[in-house]
Amino acid sequence: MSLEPIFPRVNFKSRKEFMDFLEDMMAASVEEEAEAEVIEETRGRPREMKTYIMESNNGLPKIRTATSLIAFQSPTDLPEISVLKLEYEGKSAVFYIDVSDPRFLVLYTNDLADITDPLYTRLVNSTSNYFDKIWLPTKMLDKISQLTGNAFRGFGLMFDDLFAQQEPEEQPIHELRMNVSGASSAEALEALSDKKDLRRSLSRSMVRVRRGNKTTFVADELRFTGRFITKTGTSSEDHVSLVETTRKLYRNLIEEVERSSIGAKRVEERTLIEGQAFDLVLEREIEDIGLFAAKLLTPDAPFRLWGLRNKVSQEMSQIIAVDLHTGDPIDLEITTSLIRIYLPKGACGNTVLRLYTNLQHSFDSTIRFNDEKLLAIDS
Amino acid sequence: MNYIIGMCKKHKDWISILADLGYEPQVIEQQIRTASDEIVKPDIITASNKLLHAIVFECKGGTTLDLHQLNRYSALTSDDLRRWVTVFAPKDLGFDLCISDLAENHALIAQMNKDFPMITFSVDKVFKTGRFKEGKLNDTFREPISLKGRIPPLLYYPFCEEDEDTYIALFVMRGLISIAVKNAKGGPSAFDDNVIALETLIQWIFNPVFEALSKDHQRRLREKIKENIHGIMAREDMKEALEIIERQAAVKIARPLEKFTKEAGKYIAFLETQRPLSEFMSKQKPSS
Repeated sequence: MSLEPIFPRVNFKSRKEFMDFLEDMMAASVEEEAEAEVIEETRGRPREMKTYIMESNNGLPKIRTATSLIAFQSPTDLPEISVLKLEYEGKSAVFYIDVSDPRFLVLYTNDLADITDPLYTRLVNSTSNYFDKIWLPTKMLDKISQLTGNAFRGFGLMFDDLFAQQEPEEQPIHELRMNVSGASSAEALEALSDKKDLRRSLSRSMVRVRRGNKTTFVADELRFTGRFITKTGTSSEDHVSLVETTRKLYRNLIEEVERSSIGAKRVEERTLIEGQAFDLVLEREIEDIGLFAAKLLTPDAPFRLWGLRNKVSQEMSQIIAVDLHTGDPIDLEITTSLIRIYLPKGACGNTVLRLYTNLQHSFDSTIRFNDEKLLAIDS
Repeated sequence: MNYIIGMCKKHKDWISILADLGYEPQVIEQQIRTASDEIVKPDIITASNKLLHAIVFECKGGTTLDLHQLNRYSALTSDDLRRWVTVFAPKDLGFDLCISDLAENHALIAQMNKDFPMITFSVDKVFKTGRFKEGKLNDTFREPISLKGRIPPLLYYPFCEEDEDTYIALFVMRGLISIAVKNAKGGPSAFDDNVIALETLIQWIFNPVFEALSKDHQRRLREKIKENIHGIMAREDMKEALEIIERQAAVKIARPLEKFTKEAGKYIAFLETQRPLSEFMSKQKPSS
């Protein structure tokens, strides 16, 4: 099949050409925004540049597609950049993929978010591949927004209690969604943090970050799933730098998680055991462990886990689980105040971060690792 | 074994008294030849760089203690251990042999063991009898340590071949689902006969600590796991559910997984009904 009609005629011979291309995408977005005079928030106004960091356990392989998601891949002269067109039910979008880091691929696009988001999610969730989103915990989002060169310009909150046992109206907070932007965003967040009833629901869905100087800058909205939307500014360098910083921080966290995975290592003639299970410490008590486990393992839940429960005692259950993203095993011990996660050697650390971050959004935003090294990175 | 490993880790809701002294679990079920040409096979050896000391654990879940093994332990020296244990200054390595048992069996085990210190676990405490050569351990275990409200980590060493099939089957079924999910990503099929022989499958079913177990124990576990795989694959309903997962994993996995979960529940219930029968049968066997 000829790829000519499918792909836009783009090619990159150098990194500079690619960066210029990104800058053009950003400039087009700013111009179109001015023309459209659209004020209200939408899920990505026309042509805003979107950037997704995607986790992959085997680089960028030939993408296996199932059902009606169709993927066309085309290389460019720049070995680390390729073009990907995704199609599903008559809708399509083009992504420019940077595979410089084969574990964390970066996808750029300026197609509509209403189209790119579902296509991207469909690709990531496809069980034929080893892809996953990245899952940025709340503290890491805050940390990124406060790094040198970045200015915190807003935040989004998203909490939806998946594990509630009471009726929604009886709960302190059943659902919380809120977006705040502007120079006083930090004060607004501080005021919310002081509210006792809200403190377990303040999981960040996004942060707005401005990077650069007065004339050359970018203002990005970074979502907890690793999606950036460039709201204003045309500095591709600042944008790419923000994406890179995020990718590196996340990589460090994943590597720290994987360093603790449980297994055996050969040292000369000896086989030593290594690793440590992770403790997720819960401030909010799990009222009914059986119900909690059932919700956790619901196929439609964001955790992407399947598992069998073994009730050890009234106070503790084990979940013998599989991460549906990779097919790797993972074990959990659940008590009323603790979730212990056993990640076996070779399994993907993203599973732990997916569980942790999504529990922040669906159970308790104050959930934390009982691990000094992870706390140091995720804070 | 899990209690000991857990004490070498810093877990919330479990005691980290060995981790606090710098001990880490190093070797499991390693066969060690002593200088006097005897062979011992401790369950687990933990070592501390801070104390330049190892604890050689013999874990007893039951009421028996191999007296010959105890005698062989008497011949164990630091020289014998140096080959297996990693510390910064191996020449200064000291060690203690410790029997670990459960409170309900303690009186019987203690009668058989006069030479070595013991650590005993009950529902609500852990306590020491005898004396360690390492003073810091005596200080740590001077008083019984409360385990009230504590939750031991139980999945470092998930099961042994003597565990109930109802428990082992959970891990085996999980292993089969792992394969089925990976099959959709280009991996082998759970219905490929060679898969059952795959070492990676055994490691998915147990966990990678399997590699650290003794060859003999690996063999026994492998047999037990294979017996379970055959038991599951002999059931048409389980096989069918697994087939659907493999066939549909790339398309829509949720419903076939739900079906498998349902069948898994039925299988566990079936194993439960078999238990009294197998217990009865084993009681009929002549004792060896």
